[in-house]
Amino acid sequence: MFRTKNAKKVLGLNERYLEYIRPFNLRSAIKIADDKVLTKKILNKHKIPTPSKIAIIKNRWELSQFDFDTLPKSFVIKPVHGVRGGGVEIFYNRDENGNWIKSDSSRHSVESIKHHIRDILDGKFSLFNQPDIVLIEERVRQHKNLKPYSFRGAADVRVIVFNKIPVMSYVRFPTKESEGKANLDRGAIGAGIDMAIGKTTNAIIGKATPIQKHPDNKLALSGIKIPYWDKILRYAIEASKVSGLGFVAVDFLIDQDKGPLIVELNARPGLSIQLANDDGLRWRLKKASGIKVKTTEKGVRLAKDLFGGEIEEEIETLSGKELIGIYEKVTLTGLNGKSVEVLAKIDTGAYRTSIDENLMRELGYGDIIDYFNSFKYPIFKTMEEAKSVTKKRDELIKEGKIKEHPQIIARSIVKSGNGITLRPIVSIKIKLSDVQFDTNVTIIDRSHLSYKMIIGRADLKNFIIDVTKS
Amino acid sequence: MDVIWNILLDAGVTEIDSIKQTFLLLMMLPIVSTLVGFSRHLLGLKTINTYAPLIIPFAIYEIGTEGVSTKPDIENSIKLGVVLFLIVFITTGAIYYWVLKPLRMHYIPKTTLIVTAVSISVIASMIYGTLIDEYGLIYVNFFTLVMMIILCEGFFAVFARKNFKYAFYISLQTLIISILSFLIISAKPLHELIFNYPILVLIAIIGANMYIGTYKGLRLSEYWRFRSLIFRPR
Repeated sequence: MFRTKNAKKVLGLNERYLEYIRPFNLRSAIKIADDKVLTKKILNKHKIPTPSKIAIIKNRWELSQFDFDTLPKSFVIKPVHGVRGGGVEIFYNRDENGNWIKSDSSRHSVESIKHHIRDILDGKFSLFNQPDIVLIEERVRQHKNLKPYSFRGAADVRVIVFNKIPVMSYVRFPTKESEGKANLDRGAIGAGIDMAIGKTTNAIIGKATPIQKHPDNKLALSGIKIPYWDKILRYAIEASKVSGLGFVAVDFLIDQDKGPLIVELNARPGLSIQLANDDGLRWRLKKASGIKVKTTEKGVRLAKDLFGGEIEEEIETLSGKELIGIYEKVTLTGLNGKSVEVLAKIDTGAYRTSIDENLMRELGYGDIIDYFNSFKYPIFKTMEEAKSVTKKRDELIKEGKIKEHPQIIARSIVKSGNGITLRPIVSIKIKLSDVQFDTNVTIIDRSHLSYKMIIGRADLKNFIIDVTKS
Repeated sequence: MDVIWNILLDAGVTEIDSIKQTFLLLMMLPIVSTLVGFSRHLLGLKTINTYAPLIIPFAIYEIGTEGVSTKPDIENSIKLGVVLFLIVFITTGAIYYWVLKPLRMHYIPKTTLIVTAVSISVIASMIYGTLIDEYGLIYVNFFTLVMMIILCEGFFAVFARKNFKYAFYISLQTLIISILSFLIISAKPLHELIFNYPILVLIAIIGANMYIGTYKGLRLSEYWRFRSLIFRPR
C-alpha cells in the first residue's frame, strides 16, 4: 500500500512485529517481561529500583504460615497474573485495633484480607480462573507533582526504548471516568512527553480524542514536569539492557521519596503512544537504529538530542553523526603497526589535528621527524618570515635541489607560545569514538602541554560535540 | 486435473463428481485462509479466532448444497448461516453475562454449559422454524451444525477477555469476512480456474501469502486510527 509522507512516520502493527518485536525480543526475554516476579528479581539484581517486594504467597499452605503482623502499615496486594488490574487492593494505614484501612476509608481485618488472598490463589482474578500467585508489595506514594492530575490511582510513566535509546514516552493519568485506572481504553488520559526536557506536550483521553484540560479539575495537561526525568531515562535503558529486550516499553510509578520505580516491562508496546505524542514512532525507531550506544549516558543524550522537541528541525543534519565530548580517547595506529591510546582534546579553534613529537616517534615516525629537523629551520619572529622560508623550500623541492621525505605530505606554519615554527604534516590512522579514518596531522612538540593530541576542525565533520559530556 | 480423474477411474472409483467436489473444497481451504490473512494484515479486520472465519464459509457452503436441496441458492444459504451465527452469538452472550460470569468455575465445565445452552437454543430454533413455516434449519446437516455451535467457544473467550462491545464488533467483522469468503468460494469461474489451472492457483496462493506475510505497511484500519497524524498539513 502507498505511504504518504506523514504515513511514513507512523508505526503499524505489521511493522512492529516483523521489524522490531521478532528480531529484537527473543522469546526468553519476553518471558521475563510477562512474569512480574521475575522482572522484579532481575531488575533488583542490577540495582534498578522497583516497588520493594514484601512477600509472595504461592498457595494456601504458605498463607497459613504467613504472619500478618510482619506487614507494614501500608502495602499493596496483587495477583501476579491478574487481568486488567482486577484484584489489586491498596491498604494505606492500620488502626489501633489492628485493622488495615483502604483509600475509601473502609477497614479490613486480617481475616478479611486472608479471604481476599484465598480468592486470588483460587484464580478469581486470573483469566479463566487458573490458580494464581499473590504478590505483596510496598505501596508507592505518588510524587506530589503528579497528584493533582491523578484521580485516586497513580500516574504511570511509560518510556519506549529501542537500541538502548529512549525513543518516545508518555504519562497516563487515571480519571474519574477510568475509575482510578491508568488505562486509556477505560478513559484515562495519555500525555506525550518531550524527550529533551521531560515535560508533557500534547494529550488525548480515551483511545484518540485530543484534550487540553483535565476533565476532573480543568488543569492544563501540557507543560507538566515529570520529576526525575533523567533518572527515568537511565533506568529505562538499563532495564532494556538487563532484560535483553531490544524493543520494550518500561512503565514507572514515581515515589515521593524513592523516585522512579519500574512496575512493569512490556515486550509488545502499544501504538496509542503515537496519538498521545501527536507524532509517529516509525521515524524515531529508524533514526535510533544502527547507532552504537556504548553507555547508558550516551543513550540518554541521544534520546534528548534526537527526539527532544525544540531541535526537531535539525535532526536531518544530526543523523549519522557521532556524539563526542571535549575530551575523547583516541587510538592511533603508527607506521610500525603499533597502537597507542591517548586522551585528546577537541579544539574547534584549530583547523588541523596535531600530535606530540615524542608520541609520533613511538609510533614509528622518528625517521621522518629527524629528516625534517635536519633542515634546522629557526624559530621565526614574524609570519612573513616563515612564509618566505616555506616558499623558498617549496621552490627548492620543485627544482629538485632538495628532496622531500616521501611520507611528508606538506608543511605547516605553527604559531605557539615559543614563536612561529615550521612543522611537517604526515598521514596517520586514527580511531575516534569508534569511527576509524586516515587523516593528516601536524607533528609538534607538545611535551610541555597537558594533552599529547588536539583534534581540529578538519577531522570533526562527522561528529557532534557536546560540551557537557566529560 | 484430468490425469487424476483418469487414475481414479482406472482404479475403479465411481461417483467422480462427488470426489471432484471434495477436491474443489480442499483447494478452497487455502484460498479462504489467504483471504483471512489479507483481511487481517492489509485491511486490519479482526476475527474472534483463526478457526471461525475459516470454518463459517464452508458451513454456509454446506448449508447451500446439502440442507435445503430443493432450492440450493446463495441467498438462502447466507440467510441460514447468519441466523445460525446469531443464535450461537446471542445464546453465548446471554448465558455468559446473565448466568456464568459471576460464577467461579473451571474453563472446560464453563464451556460445556455454554455448549449445552447453545445446542438447546438451536433445537428450539428448529422447532420454532417449522411452526412459522421456515424449514431451512431443520434440514441442515449435523456436522454443519456442530461447526457453527463450536463457535461459541470463540465468543466466550472474547467475552471473558474483553467486553461486550469489543466482542460484538469483532464478531461482526468475522461474519463479514466469512460471507465474503463464502461468496468467493461459490463463484463458478473460480471453480473452473481451479479445475483447469490448479498449478497456477497454487502459485498464486503461495505468492499472495509471501506478500501478505512480509507486508510491513500500515493496515487500512490504521490509516483510520492514526488519521490525525497522517491526514493533516505539515
